[in-house]
Amino acid sequence: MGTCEKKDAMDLLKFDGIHKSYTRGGMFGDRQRHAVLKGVHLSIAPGSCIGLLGRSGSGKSTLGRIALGIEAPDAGTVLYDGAAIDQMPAARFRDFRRNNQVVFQNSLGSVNPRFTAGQIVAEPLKNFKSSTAAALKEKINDLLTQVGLRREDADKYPHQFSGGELQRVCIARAIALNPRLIVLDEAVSSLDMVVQSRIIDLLMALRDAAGIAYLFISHDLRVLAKIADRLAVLHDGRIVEDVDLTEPRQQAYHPALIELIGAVLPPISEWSKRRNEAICV
Amino acid sequence: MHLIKTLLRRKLNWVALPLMLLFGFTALLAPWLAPHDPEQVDLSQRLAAPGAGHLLGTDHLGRDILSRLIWGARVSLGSVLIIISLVMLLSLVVGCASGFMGGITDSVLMRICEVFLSFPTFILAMFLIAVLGMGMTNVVLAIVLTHWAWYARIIRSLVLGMKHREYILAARVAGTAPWRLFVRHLAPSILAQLLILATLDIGHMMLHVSGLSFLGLGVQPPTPEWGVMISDARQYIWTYPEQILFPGAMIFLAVMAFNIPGDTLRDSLDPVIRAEEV
Repeated sequence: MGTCEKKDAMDLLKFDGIHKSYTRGGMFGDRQRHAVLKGVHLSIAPGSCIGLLGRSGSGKSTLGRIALGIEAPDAGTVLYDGAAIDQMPAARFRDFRRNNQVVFQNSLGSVNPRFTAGQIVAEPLKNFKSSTAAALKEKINDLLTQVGLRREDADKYPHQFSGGELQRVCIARAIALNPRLIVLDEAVSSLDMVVQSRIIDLLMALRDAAGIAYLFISHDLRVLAKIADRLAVLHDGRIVEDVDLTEPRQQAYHPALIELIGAVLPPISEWSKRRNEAICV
Repeated sequence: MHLIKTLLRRKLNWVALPLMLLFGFTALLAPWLAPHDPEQVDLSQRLAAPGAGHLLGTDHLGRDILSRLIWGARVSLGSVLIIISLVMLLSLVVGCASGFMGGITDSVLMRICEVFLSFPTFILAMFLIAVLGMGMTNVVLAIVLTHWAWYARIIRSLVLGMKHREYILAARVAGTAPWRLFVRHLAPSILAQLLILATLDIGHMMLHVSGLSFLGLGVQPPTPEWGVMISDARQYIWTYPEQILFPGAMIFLAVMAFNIPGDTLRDSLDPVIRAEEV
C-alpha cells in the first residue's frame, strides 16, 4: 500500500504481504484463529527511520519479530536486500542476522540476569568474530563509552543498573556488530520522559554516525514525531497510513491516525501557560 | 571459592557442611573406619548395650551397629547419588527435547511421561522389580524409571517458560547458536532449579531405597543398609529402642545435611538474592 515498486532495488528490508495469525484455545476447547497481520506491505530504505505506530495489540511487535527472522509469517515474504530470508543459504542468513539487531522495551527482561554488562555486550561479538580477550575488552569499552556508560560498568550485573542505563547496555549490544537495521520495539516506552529524550538523542546520534536504519515500534506519537522520518500506522492488521514526515502533506489522515493524534496528552508549554495564568490571577 | 563463602555465610551450614563431608568420607573410607566386620554374626553378643567393645552396641544377630552404620552410608549415599544422576540425565534430555522441539516430539514424549506418572511410584517400582528381579541394581533402575517423568515435565515447563523470554530472543538475534543458547542461557537456570529439587529429593530417594530393601526387594541381607537396619530393629522397638534410633538418626541427619546446603546453593545461584545478601 505504501510501497513504491521502483524503490525495490534500494530497499534494505521489505515486507511483502505478511500474514500472521495465532491459535487461541487448547486441544479440546473450540480453537479460534486470531489474525494479527492481514497482508502487511512495508519497505525500509537504508539509513531511514520508520516509525511503526499502532494501538496495543495491533501486531506491531509481531511484525518486529518477523522482521528479525525469529518468527515466521504464515504467508508473505520478508526480503532482505531483495532476497527472501526464508530461502536464503545459511551464510547469507548469517549476514542478515548480523545486520538486523533489536532493542526490546523491557531492558531487564532482555538481558540474562547472570551476565555482567560486559558479557552481555560481548555476546554478539563472540558469535561473529574471533578476537583476543584484550581486543574484545577494548571493543566492549568502546561500545559502552559510545552509549554514554563508563568502562567500570562492564563488571556490573543488570539489576545494578537503572532502567535507562540498562537500555543503553542493550543498545550497545545492538550496535556491537555495526548492523544496518535495528528494530526498536517500544525501546523507550517504559522510561521516564527525561531518560526517554536522552535515549532518543543517543539513537539519533548513532544513526548520523553509522547510518543505521531503525524500525521504531511505538504507540507514542510524540516519540515518533521526534525521531522518525516516515510514519506507518498499523491498524486492523494492515498498514493504513504511510506518511513521509519530511514533506508537508495536504490529504486527510486515516481515522486511526487521527484518533491517535487526538489521544496525545497536552504538551508542556500548555501546562506552563495555565500555571502562569494561575499565578497572574 | 565464592561458593564456599556463600555457603559459610549461613550459620546452619556450619553444622550441615561438616556433616555432609563426614557422611561422604564415611562412605568412601568405610573399610578402614569400621571397627568390626559389619556382617560378622556373634549370637553370644546379641543385643548388647553400647559400651567399650561395641561403641553403639550390637543388633539381634550380634553384629556391630557402628560398623553397619558406616558401611550403610556407602550403600545409601552411593545408590542415591547414582539414582539422582541418572534421573537428571534422562529427564534433562527428554525435557529439553520436548520443550525445545515442540510439536509431535513433544506430544509423544509427554504421553510416555504420563504413562509413568499415572502409577503410584512405589507400586510401579515394585512391579518393575518383579519384572527385572531383586537386587540393588534393579532397585536403582526401578527408582530412576519411576521418577524421571516428574523431572522431565518440570524441565519441559522451565524450557517452555524461558524459550520466549526476551533475553533468549535477544540472544538469538545476536546470532547465538542453539547449543550455545542452551549451555549459556537455559542450562544455568534449569540446573539451578533442578539442584534444589534434587537435594530435597535425596531424603525421599533414600527412603525409597530403604523401603524397598525393607520389603526384601532391594538390598539383600546381610548387606548393611540403614533401611534394612530399621526394619530389623522394628521388633525390638519397645525393648531395645536404641536399635531403631541409630539408623533412624543417620537417615535424619543425612537428609538434613543435604537439604540445608542445597537450599543455600539455590539462593546463591539467584543473582538477585545473592546481591541482597552481599
